[in-house]
Amino acid sequence: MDNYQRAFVGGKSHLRKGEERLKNLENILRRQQLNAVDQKIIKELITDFKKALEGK
Amino acid sequence: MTSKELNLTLLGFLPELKSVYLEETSWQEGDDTGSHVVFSDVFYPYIAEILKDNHSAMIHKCFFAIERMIELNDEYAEEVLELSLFENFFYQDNLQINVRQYMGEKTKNKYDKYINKTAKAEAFHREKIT
Repeated sequence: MDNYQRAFVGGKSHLRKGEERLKNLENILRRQQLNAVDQKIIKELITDFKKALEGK
Repeated sequence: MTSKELNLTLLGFLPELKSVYLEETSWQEGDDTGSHVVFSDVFYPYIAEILKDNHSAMIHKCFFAIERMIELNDEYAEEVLELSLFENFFYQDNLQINVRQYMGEKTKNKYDKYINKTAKAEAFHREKIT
């Protein structure tokens, strides 16, 4: 993570928030009754979150 | 402080949140559900609603609870308040003008620092993309 990213997202603090939100999205996918469109959206969000948390 | 401890601290101050809290956490990790999620999805919408309704007694009760949570001087509690409550206040145009007037002194201090930090980060971001 470069200085730009650190400054913009606040560094480690936002990472924990991101990790908690990722778990929330995975719970939604596993445990909520979702239609196909919503499932697709949640899966895409999960992928995006994982990439962001990995710094990609 | 763990998520569970912070979530239960919130409920201790505001037991009226219990039904919506249970509704939100029962299908996640229960009391261990991340506090960022609880404060963003349970506490913030509740504050936004009572602010919209101008429910004075409840507004003061919520901001009293926030002030007490800041006084815990706990790193995780402060992080959650900053990133999952203040951040929502700051980015909701209809709320950011009003919320500061209800804050206790320590909350105002933290909120102002958060705003300054965010403004600097956004300026840095603008400079980076131009």
